[in-house]
Amino acid sequence: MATAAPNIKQEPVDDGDFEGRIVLLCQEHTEGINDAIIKAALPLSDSVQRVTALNNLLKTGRITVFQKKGTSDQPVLLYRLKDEATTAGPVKGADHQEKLVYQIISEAGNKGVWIREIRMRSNLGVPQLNKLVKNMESKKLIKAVKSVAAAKKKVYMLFDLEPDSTITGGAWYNDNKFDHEFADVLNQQCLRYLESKSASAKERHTDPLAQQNGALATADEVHRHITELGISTIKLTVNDIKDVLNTLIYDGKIKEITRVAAAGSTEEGQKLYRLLKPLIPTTGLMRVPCGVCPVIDQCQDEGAISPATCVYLKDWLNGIL
Amino acid sequence: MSKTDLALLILRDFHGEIVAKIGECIVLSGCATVRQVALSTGIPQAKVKRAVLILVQHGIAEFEQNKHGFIDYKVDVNKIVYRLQFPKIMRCAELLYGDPAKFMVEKLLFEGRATMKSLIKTETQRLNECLRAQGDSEVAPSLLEERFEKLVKTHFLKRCSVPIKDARGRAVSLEAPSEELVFVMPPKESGTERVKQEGEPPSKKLKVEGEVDHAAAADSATSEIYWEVNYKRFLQHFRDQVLVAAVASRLDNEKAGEVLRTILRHCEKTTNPNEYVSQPISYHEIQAQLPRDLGMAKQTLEQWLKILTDTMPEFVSKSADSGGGMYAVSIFQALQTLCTAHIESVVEERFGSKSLRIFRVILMKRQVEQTTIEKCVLMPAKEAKDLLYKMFREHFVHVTELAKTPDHAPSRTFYLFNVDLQKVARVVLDRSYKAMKNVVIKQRLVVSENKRLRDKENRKNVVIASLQKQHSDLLAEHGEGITDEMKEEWEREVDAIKSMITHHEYEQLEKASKFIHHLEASQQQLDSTIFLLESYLAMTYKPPTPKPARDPLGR
Ligand code: SF4
Repeated sequence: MATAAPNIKQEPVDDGDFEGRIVLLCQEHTEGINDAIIKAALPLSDSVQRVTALNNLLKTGRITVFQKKGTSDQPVLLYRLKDEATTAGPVKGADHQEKLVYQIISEAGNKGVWIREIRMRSNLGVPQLNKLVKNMESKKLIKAVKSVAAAKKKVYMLFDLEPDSTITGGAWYNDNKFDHEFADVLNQQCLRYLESKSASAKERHTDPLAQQNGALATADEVHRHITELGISTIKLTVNDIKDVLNTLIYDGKIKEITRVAAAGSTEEGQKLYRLLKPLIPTTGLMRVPCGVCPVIDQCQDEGAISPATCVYLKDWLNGIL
Repeated sequence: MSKTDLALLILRDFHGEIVAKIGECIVLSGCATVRQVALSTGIPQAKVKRAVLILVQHGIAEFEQNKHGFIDYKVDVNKIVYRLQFPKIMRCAELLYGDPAKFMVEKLLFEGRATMKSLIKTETQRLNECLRAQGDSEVAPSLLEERFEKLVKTHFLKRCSVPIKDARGRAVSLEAPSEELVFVMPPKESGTERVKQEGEPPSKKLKVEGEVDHAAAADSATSEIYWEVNYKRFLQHFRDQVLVAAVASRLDNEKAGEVLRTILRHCEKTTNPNEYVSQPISYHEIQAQLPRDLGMAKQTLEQWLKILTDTMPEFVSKSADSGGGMYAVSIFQALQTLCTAHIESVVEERFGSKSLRIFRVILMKRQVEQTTIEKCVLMPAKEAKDLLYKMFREHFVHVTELAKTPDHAPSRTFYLFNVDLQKVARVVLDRSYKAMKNVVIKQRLVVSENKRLRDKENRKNVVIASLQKQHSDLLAEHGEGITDEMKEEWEREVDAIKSMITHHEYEQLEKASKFIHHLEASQQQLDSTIFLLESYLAMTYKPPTPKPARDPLGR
């Protein structure tokens, strides 16, 4: 709700009157009215009353509000009668409340809106709202979409919208479950591609610099390679591949390099990826059982858990035979 | 602290129960006088004195007069733990300056200190015995002398601290030799050789509490200079080797490592080892000092330097363009990078590769909210959360609270995950010491479990060897007179003794020696983790000093 006073809850005294007047005003000024015009037309009203009236009108969907650049840089809010077509639209024949709910849901776009929020904004009771929503669902006006963010959370959006990737999780979610096998396979394939690139660069060039540069690949190249492999049934975008490449960076297996754009060119630096060889072999601590030992903190020289009695050490030694 | 536990264990191995007990008492109380030690351990003062003497002799303990006029002893745990590095140090000396250097360094390591003269004398003997046994020709003392001088010049050996005496001739504290002198050879002695003290065990020469030796005090000039191994220099050398290996591994090319080695060799001479960044070296100098047998073309060197500075700026950076480009090694940053690598390795092995991904997201983004992590790592949010909390529980990641409101209500607070590298390094270091201690204990157990068998085996070998000698002597004496039957008889005798050790026992021995070998190898690997973390943490303890005049290597 787009007005200046957020906390108006006191019952308006005479708001019916104000509401009617405002609607009339709107009909006069088809381009929209602002607060100043209303104030001039309703000199007896105080700001609280005006805002209450406007809010009620907005809630019931009779007027809409929009922003317009004012004379100064401050944007001003303009109110206008709602277009009959949109108000009526798909909810033709529906009552006020249904219109209201429909509007709330449509405002949420493809990100959807949670039922609790609809309730709070519409001020409708739980059973009533549930009934409305069910009704609308069956009319195929809206649909419920499960969000990946929380298992039980459902959001509502208009029926013909494609849910946003933050709701579905993008390419990585299958049936609302994270498809980590898919993500892992892609992670490995991208790595393999960069590995082969690095190996072939090493074969082809003798110059260290040429070897280094030959191992570089852009996200587009990797994307093309993955597409050609045909391992994915869904269409992956270059951005999806970039996500995967990022995981490889976090894994410490590849490195991202930004090639500086040529002087004068307007392009921004291009991102390139290259295989990263490890700095060290597995560290010494992890080559003995104590490194992974779950009870290392309880292990004492003369205790129930001790190197003398330790089965991990024993098995480890027997393992080398 | 696991480090102290380990140190005391090593002390026991090297110097026996009593010294270890006394060492423990001093370590735990911070510093103590002989009387205090005797009182709290119940060991007679005379014995305590001897033990303390051994500790001082090996540079493990230091002493100082306290304000009541008593001598306080302090034990440096690090010095004890260095003992695990002895094999490495000896190998290093051998690689650099051959067998003579190895022998001398070995002697100094195990005896603590010696004068140059006695050292050269005993070690020439020992080395020649070895050479004779191998059938090689002997060497002259002058060779050892030359190597000794080299070791001193390159700061691998240094002069010991000298005791300062009070009016009554008691040694009251130790004074490090002055900076100009630590690495200076005494002037060459002329004909009149003073052999007075040679051969005497050096421990007698160190005067502690009360012993007075006026003669020695008088001519402390040359032959009385005691030398010891300069651990710090060796450690610096090892550190450089680690850096070189890391670069070679990352760039997957030995030559890249050699370029760095050349730069580091130069830095050894110009830079204080505690410095964060080395003194820059020009491209021309690198080129001139690059080992010829690498056969690296000028252009290739240029390329390697470019690759190094572009892809591993934490190691090598270009500081200026003069002289064909000035290059410096960022020692601290390189160590930090390596320390991170070791910790990452721990995370990967202990928590799994998915956890490593999370860990590195936090490292790269520094301060990050849980939701951001979940978005970055491409795994189910729940799994990510589980892994994250597991690392949090073991203190590998930390949380900063950022409350939006003064009431710190959780719903209005940002929880930012971060990694405090130094804290984690300490956690890992402590565990490494603990693991080292466990492996050492296990090794001793394996040894002692098989001691009886091993002794039996040794006895058997001795008997067989003497029998065979007898036989061959007889053969030489009587020649033809020995019949084949007699020979068979002999063989049967030998076989009978051989069968003293059953097949099963033999297998048992085999197994034990494999175990011991494996445990030793693990100690070395553990040492590399410990070494790196210690080197890194040592640099974080104090800010780099604003460059002292020159040589920093002394204690
Ligand atoms: S000795 Fe055994 S119980 Fe103790 S820390 Fe090592 S693996 Fe764990």
